[in-house]
Amino acid sequence: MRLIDWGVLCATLAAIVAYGMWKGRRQERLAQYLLADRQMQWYTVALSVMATQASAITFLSTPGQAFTDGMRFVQFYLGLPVAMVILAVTAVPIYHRLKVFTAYEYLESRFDLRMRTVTAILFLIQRGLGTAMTLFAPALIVSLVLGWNLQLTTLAIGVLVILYTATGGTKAVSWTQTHQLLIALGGMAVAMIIAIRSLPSTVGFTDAVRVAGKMGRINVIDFTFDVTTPYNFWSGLFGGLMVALAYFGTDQSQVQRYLTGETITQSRLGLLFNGLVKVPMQFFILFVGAMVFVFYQFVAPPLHFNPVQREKVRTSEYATQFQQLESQHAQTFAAKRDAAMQLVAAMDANDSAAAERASTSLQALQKEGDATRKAASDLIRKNDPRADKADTDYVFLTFVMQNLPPGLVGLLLAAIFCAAMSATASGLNSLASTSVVDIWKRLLLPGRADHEYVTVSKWMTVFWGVFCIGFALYANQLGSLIEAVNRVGSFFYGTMLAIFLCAFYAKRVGGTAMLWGAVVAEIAVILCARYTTMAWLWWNVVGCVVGVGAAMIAQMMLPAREVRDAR
Amino acid sequence: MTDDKPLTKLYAAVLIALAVEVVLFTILTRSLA
Repeated sequence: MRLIDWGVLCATLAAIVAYGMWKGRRQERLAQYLLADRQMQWYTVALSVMATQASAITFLSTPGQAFTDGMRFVQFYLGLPVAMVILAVTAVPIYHRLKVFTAYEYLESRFDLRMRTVTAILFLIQRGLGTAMTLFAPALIVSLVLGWNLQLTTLAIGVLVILYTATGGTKAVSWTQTHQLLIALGGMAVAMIIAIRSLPSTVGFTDAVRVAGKMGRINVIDFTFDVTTPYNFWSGLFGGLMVALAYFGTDQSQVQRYLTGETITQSRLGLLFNGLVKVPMQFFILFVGAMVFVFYQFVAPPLHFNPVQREKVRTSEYATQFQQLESQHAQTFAAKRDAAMQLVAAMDANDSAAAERASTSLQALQKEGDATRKAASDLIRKNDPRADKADTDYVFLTFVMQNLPPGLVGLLLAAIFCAAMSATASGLNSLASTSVVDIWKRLLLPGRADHEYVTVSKWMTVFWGVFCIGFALYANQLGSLIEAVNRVGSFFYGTMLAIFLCAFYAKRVGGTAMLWGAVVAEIAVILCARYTTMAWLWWNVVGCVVGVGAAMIAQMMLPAREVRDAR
Repeated sequence: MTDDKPLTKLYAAVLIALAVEVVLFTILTRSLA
């Protein structure tokens, strides 16, 4: 990091925090603090919704995912636009008309206080852990690649977020998110341009795309139906639809974003904009990863992208073996580079036979390279059993640190910090809302003055911020971090979606039956996770279907109830 | 607060956009493989 990089990074972060605190000044009523007085327009709602979902994990891990596995991860988002339409039609009007502060408030009028409390607690557990990971993941990656202290990096991001989120509330969060997302996307665009411009002069943009295609990185759509693999069209459309319905319909961190809409239409437009833009946005981020992959066909990549683990193994008893793998890797790279240049020349000359030969040779060398990288990862894990299974999460940041010019490194780091802060801020804001509205105000200390609850909300934000920082400092890594975050969600989302689906559409189901349905659904998900090879995306479907089914069956066995209609 | 304009055309546009993206992605995947 050069001085100019530090300057860009610190100036951006200081500006964001100051802006947030300024925007969120003078918040005296709970509706102001938690819902920005319901005054937001659709574009702020839209960018806020998008920024909440696009954490630093998206910007760090997703390009790495494309680097190792290609672009098929985009399929995870195919269900999202459908979910946006469904929620715009159903959930938005219900929440708006009831003037709720949280999604779980609605459940009391529909079922009973017990279901409201149970669901709120499920949310607090799941979002609390999720927000901690949102904080931990980028701190870990940044600290490892830059050599910064992990604890201090985690603290720095966490404290900055707490500052403007606690003082400024939802208004501060929503307004800073609009700028943070634009900075993050701008940073990704810069990285992609640099990756393409750094290729050899004979390799143009079209050549790069074609090389990526031949190497299996432009594998965007896969129509194979296979419940054991997470990324295909069907799991994306159906499993992804369930995740999106649960996340945007029942998770307070998202519901709170669109409850700030001035009218039902403004909230709907915000969600629909997300539905239009999300898939292209994810395609773009994955495409950046594919271009970084192509870059590393012409510029030698490290054998392993985690620099700390690399150094550890080089100074261990496995140093000689690692050195042998490194020289093998260098030889394979040299041969691959030649094959890649031949492929480009053949494609430019429209010589399909030569292109086919070069492509076959390149793919074979890629397999060889992958085997060497796997052997290196295995050696690293032998030396340190707690090391990551793969170095996917370090690819993009390594590329940035080693190849971007001065100043732009600072911009990319600012982009990553912005993404981390925006998602963490939403998380803390929603955790505070649910803690105050569903637990503190409803159960513990009702009937107090509004401004007292505002003060409690601020302290709750700080509490959850401290909790997340504390948990983040002790988190374990579970494969790719973006998968870890979604896995945690998929344990609970199916059940929460079942609760809300019954709330909206199955009017005969009462609170007791729904409670039984939720319990059975969670058991089913745990059994699937423990005893089957079912990919985690499908857990949402299991939780939802079992939850709804079990609730309906339970209701049939209970005494008939008076139908409560909260609309 | 309770403004409730019908947005049917927009709903259709979002779904059509998704379908178009899937078609384009499929063409891209198959042509570059």
